[in-house]
Parts: sequence; C-alpha cells; structure tokens
Amino acid sequence: MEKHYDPLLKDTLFTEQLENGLTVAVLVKPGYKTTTGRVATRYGSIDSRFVNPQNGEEIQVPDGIAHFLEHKLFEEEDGNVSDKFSELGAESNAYTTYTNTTYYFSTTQKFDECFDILLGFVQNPYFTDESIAKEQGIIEQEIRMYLDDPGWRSSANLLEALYVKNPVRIDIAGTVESIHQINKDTLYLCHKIFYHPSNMVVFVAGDVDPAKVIETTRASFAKKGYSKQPEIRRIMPEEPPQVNEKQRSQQLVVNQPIFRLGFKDKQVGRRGKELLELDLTTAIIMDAVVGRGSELYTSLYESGLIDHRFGFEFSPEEAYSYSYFAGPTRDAKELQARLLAGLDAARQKGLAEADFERARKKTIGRVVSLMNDLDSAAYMFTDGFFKGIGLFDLIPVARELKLEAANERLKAHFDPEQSAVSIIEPK
Amino acid sequence: MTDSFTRYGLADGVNLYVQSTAKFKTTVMYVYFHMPLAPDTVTNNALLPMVLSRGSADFPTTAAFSRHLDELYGASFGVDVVRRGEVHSIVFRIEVAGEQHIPGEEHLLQKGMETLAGVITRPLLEGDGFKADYFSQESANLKQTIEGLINDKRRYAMVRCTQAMCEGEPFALYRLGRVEDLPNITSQTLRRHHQRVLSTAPVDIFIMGNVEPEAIKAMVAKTLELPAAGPGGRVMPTTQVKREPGHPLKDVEDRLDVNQGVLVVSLRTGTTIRDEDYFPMLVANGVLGGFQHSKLFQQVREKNSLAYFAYSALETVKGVGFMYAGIEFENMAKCKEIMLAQLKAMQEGHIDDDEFGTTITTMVNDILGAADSPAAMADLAVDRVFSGRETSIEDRVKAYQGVTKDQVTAVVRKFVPDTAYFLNKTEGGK
Repeated sequence: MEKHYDPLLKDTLFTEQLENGLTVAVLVKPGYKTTTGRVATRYGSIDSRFVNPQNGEEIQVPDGIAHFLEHKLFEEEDGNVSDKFSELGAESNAYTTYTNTTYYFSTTQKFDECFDILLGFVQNPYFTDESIAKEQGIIEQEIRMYLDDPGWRSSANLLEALYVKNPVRIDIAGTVESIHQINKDTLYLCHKIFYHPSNMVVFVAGDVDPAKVIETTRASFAKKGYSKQPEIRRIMPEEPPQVNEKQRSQQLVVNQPIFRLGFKDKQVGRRGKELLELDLTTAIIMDAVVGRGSELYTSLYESGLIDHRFGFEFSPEEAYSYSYFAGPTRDAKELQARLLAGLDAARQKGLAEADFERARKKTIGRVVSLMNDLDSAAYMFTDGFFKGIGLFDLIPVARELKLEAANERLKAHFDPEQSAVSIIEPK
Repeated sequence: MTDSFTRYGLADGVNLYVQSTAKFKTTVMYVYFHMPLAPDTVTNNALLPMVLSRGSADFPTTAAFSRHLDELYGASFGVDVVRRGEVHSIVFRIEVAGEQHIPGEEHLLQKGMETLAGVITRPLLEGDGFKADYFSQESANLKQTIEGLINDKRRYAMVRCTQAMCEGEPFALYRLGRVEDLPNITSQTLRRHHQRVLSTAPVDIFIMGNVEPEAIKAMVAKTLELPAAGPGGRVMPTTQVKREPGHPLKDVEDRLDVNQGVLVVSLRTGTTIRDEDYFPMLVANGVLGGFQHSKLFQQVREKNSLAYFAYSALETVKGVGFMYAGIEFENMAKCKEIMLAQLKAMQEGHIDDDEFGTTITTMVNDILGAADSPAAMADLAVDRVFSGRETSIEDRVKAYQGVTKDQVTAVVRKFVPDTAYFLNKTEGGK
C-alpha cells in the first residue's frame, strides 16, 4: 500500500495495485458521514471495435453496447442490485461516457455490505433474452429523451461535424436501431474482456480504514480466479486531422438559436502529465481569453450575443481532444465571427501575464473546492486514472505551467481551420 | 459532527446561522431575502439580482467584478431566485477557499463577504436608477431565459402543469416571472424595488466553514449594512394552502413538435411542512415515487418498460405533489392509469414491508449525508425557517424512523389528484 499526502489539500490517498492488475485507491476523509465506493472500467462507447485478447480475433460490436451493459449489469438472478443497495439505505447508480463506465454507491450506514455488493455485481453478469428486451424499451425512451434535449443535441452535432471517423461522433447510448442488435452473447463477451481486473479501478472515499478496503477488494476478486489478460487492443479508425464539416444545423423546439463552436486537436495519443498539462493550459487560456473577466466576454455580452448561460470547456482524451464554446444566442453567425476574430486576435497578441496568473489562481482554487465533495473527488480520480493522471497531480502541474507554452498552445489549438459550428435553430 | 447552527438575531427579521466545521475546504455564505410570490413583484424579484450582479459601486464593470473574484482564488459567486410555497426568495451566494489551503493568503473570507455585501447594498447607479445599460441588457436576458423554459421539456411540463392546477393562485407564477411585465419595469422602478426588498424582506444568512461563530457574527454585522426595517417590519410572507382540488381530475394538453411525451399528474396533498403529519407525508412520497425502489419507478419503468424516468416529488410549503414520466405518446392513458392505480393502492393500505422499510432507510441515509454538503446543509437550515421547527439531523432521523405504515396510509388518503398535464406531439407529427 502506497501513501500519498497532499500538503495543500491536506488529503491522504492510499493506493495498491493487486496481482491481477486491479488498482485500488482510498481517499481518507476524516469526519465525513458519507462513504462512496466506485468501480470503473476503461470501457466506453468508443470501444466498439477491438481485438479479443483471448484468441486474437477482431470484433465489431453494435453501437451503445457499453451503455447497455451498464444498465443490464444491475440485474442479477435474484433481482435488481439497485434494490439491494436501497434496502441498505444506499444510493447507487452508474454512468457510461465515451471512454469509461463507472458504478457507484454512497452510504452513511452500511459501507461494508454495500461495498461487497458493488464488487460482486460488476463481476457477475446475468442476462436473459427477456430482460434484454425489457431494457431495449427503457433505453429507447432514454434515447428519445435526449432527442428532445437541445443541449445534448448541440453537443452531439458538434462532434459529428468535428470528427470524420472517430466513434466519439456516435451517441453514447447508440441508436434505437443499434440497441436492437444487442444480444446475450455479445454482452457476455464484452463483459469478459472489458471487466477484467487489469482494465478496472476501485476507488473509495470516506472515513474508512484503507488497509481493510484493499483487503476486501483483494478477497472479492480472488474468488473469480482471473487469469492474466494482455492489454486490450482497441481499434480506432484513422482520423484525418481536418474537421468533417464546417457547420451542422438542426431544428428543435427552442426559443432562440443554441450555438456551439468547437476546435479539434490534430494531434492525439497524449497521456499522463503531458495530457494534464494540455488540459490545464487549454482551460486557463479559454478562461483568460473568453472568461467573464475578459474583454471579449464583455463585448459579446454587452452586444446581447451571449448571456450568463454561455460556457466553454476542453475535453482531453487519449483518442480525441476538442474544445467548445456554447450558449443560446440571438445571432449565431455574428457570434461565430466575433468569437473567431477575438480568438485570432489573442493568438497574434498572446496572453497578458496578469490574465494568465489570474486564471491559474482560479484553477487552483477550484480544485481545492472540488475536493470538498466526495463525488467530485471520485470523478476526478477515475477520469484521471485511465489517462495516467493522479488526483494530486493537478495543483503542482498547474503551478508549473509557463506563459510561453500557453501562448504556443493558444496559437496551435485555436486555429480557425480546425473549427466547426453546431447550431440548433428554433422550429 | 453535528449540524447545529449557532443562531444570532442581528436585527428584527434578520437572522444569522453559523455552522463551524473544519471538514470543508471552503467557506460558503448564503443571504436570502424572502419576498411574497405575487404578480406585481415576481418579475422584479427575478430581474433584481441579475442587474445587481453585473457590477457594484466597488467593482463598476462586470469584468472588474469577475477578475476580483478570480483573484480570491476563484471565489464562486452566484445569485438565484427560488420559490417555496408562495415565498419568493432572492438568494446571493459566495464560496471562498479556506485560508488553511492557500498559503500566504489572508482575509479571503472577509474580502469575499465585502464583495457580496457590495453587490447587495452598494449598487452601481446612474441618477436614481441602476446603470441603464446593465438594466436593459439584463431585462433582455431575463426575457430570453423565461422563454427558454421551453428548451427543457421536463421542466416546461412541470411548470405548465403547476400553472394549470393553480390558476388564480400566486403559486401559478413561474419563479422567473412574466415576459409581459418587462416593458413596464424601468431601471428607476427596479431600484425602488431594490430598496423595498432591503427594508421589508426578512433576511436569513447562512455561513458554513472553518470559522469561529462569534467572530463571524461581528464580521457580518460590520460588513453587511442593511437599512432599518420599514414601519411594517420584516414579515415572512404566507402561503395560501388549498387542501383539496374541489373538482374532478382536470386534463390539460399542450402540443409541441417533440420526440417524447411528458406526463405530469399533480396532486393536492392536504398536508404541509407545518403540519403534524409532515414526516409521514415525506415517507408517503418516498413509497409512491421518490426513489428507484418506489412504486412509480418499479411499475412504470421496470415492470411495464414505458419510461426511462418515472418519479414523484412534493412541494411541502404549498402542499402539492407531482407524479411524472417521459413516455411514448400512445402510452399516455396507460401510464396515467398506472400512476393513479399506485396512489389508490397506497390509499387502500397496500404498502409492503420491503418498500416501506427501504424508504425509511433511504431517507435516513440521505439526511445523514446532508452533513457532508454545504449546499444541503443550507437547504436544511432554510427548511427550518419554513417549518418553524428546530429539527436537527438527528431529530429528523428519529422522526423518519418513528413513522408508521398507518400514518402513511392516513396521510396519503389526503392526496387528491388535481390536474393531469400531457406534453403531446403536434398533430400529424411523427
């Protein structure tokens, strides 16, 4: 068991990698009533084509299967696992992203029992034709709900515009058609491959004994007697550097246009500290150039082109990375022109030292604040883990960032050639 | 740790609640001004904090204000208007990093509090009104935000159902106000409304963090200078409670070009937060549709595969409730029938031991977990203001555990369906 202490956050994290490849991490939070337990697997919606590590065969599975599997894993032969958590008074849920699937509970009362259930059910798939058919109905309604969600559609359309082949352009839940192609055998196969301990991580945060958590996890996974599995080879289609199309529009029942401008990174494949530096640098740039304290924000706001709902974010992953600026607007064309012009002016001029420092301070303060909340800390941990980034790396890396590097990144990333827009228009 | 707030009366109708805890890495402060929810003030209440937060006499531009917050290590600042019953509260919030986590920084809290106080009490004025540009920009933004309700179909359906159910009652008013009021509000009339809020609204201030209550009390008293209360004092607004619909279930439908229908069946609960059977009512909602183990989720989603979401929720100050689900258009009648059947089953005493026990355990878990979240603690503190009960987390745990099935059956018998609202597709739509 390794102990990591962060003197600024005053938090302690214990980690251990088990013999089967599984990493267990425990963030000790004295005084917290709640404990959260999570199991995450590096298996998201983009992992639809891969090589079976058992026999070397290449496989293509239906879109949306990782998310479908997330729903179905809750079902056991003797009932739904959610009910077992509920009986213990715990909240439980799960989510699937483009790159991973996470199962979690939080409880104030019976941590040991809940943790056993969590570790058990993720290793214990149980699918029947009947329960798969039932889930298709539920997920179809989930997909339809998102079809009416303009924020979600705006984001999905931008990804379709930015990417030519990368599966991030396909909805996490798949489509009504693709989920009807999912069957028992494919679900079992995907579970066997992607829910191998070497592809997973266990995280616990709360006022708990870390050694005990690690031992419980070890014992639970030992029961299954996993054999070694080589790293899973995921087959990503070759993505051209340029964007797929410059603009994508859709009409929905909204009161005014919803605008989203994205920039696609040409280079991918970064991990660890390199990816974290890219993440924090890009976030700081965006805040310095378009944040509320910037001249650009003021001018867009005072022209009535954006309001308090305007926001921006950078999504750095190993397989793709892009940034976006989004919000409702009265005039999408004008907003696009002025954002591009403002970003281009910043590229020519570079960031002011004071703006860079201010945005850095804000970033550090926000990490401190996020660590208050067990769910936020857990999210930061699991998201970072699969990218090779440690929970306590954020603040030290933020402190080391250099203005010169930020200015280079500003020039490289916010290239208008690499941009695309998504517009939701009122029906 | 307990959830005990130290309460200080700073002036008549102005109360400060301080919770000292070393657990959080930040200190958070909320200031609530409670106004009546009424047609002539609802839009003013919504617009006021938007204009105030654009800049103050201390930080006259939005950029300067925002940069100042960034310099306080990303202090997070926000305003909101919330509605509980027919009380319309204007809320100001600031959260600053604890100084123990930012070496070499001092007085972050004092600076944060001064910033918040500046926004509330030292606005940027031009003549006898707010700065004209900020006023007109925020008036336009509020119009768009009100109209933007339609972008979120679930919330739109809930608001439309409430309007239909509570026609003629103040509760029908949307928390962000009405577009038609905006042309009649000027920067001068809004400024006069501001002065009215400062001198007539009861004020509740909540502060949580690694703080010393007495020192905080002195800091707040010195920093947040509110005018003396007007001749009528600061009086908590009341809520008109209608315990029964007085009519059979009313059907209301809107048609939009959408992919999924949203069904909302509203209820008059006959009981409120101030009544003795308040805790049994919360448990009743838990059994009916508050959770995934509840009747609605189990029947509508798990058994009949009709929906992705299917829940119920209460508004306990007004005494109303909602059962809602997102469904295929053609399943409306079936879903409504299932919802009403679940309610009826409870009224006939069909509550099994598992769902009852699970509900209590889940509610106990939720309330214990509130102690780990500053926002949830602030909510509980506000709850006490509305309930008139000094209930600690431990008291609530005991209250939940003391609820019996008979009490739940008795209270749920008071629930009467009022309005069934359906967001349908346009005629001839796909």
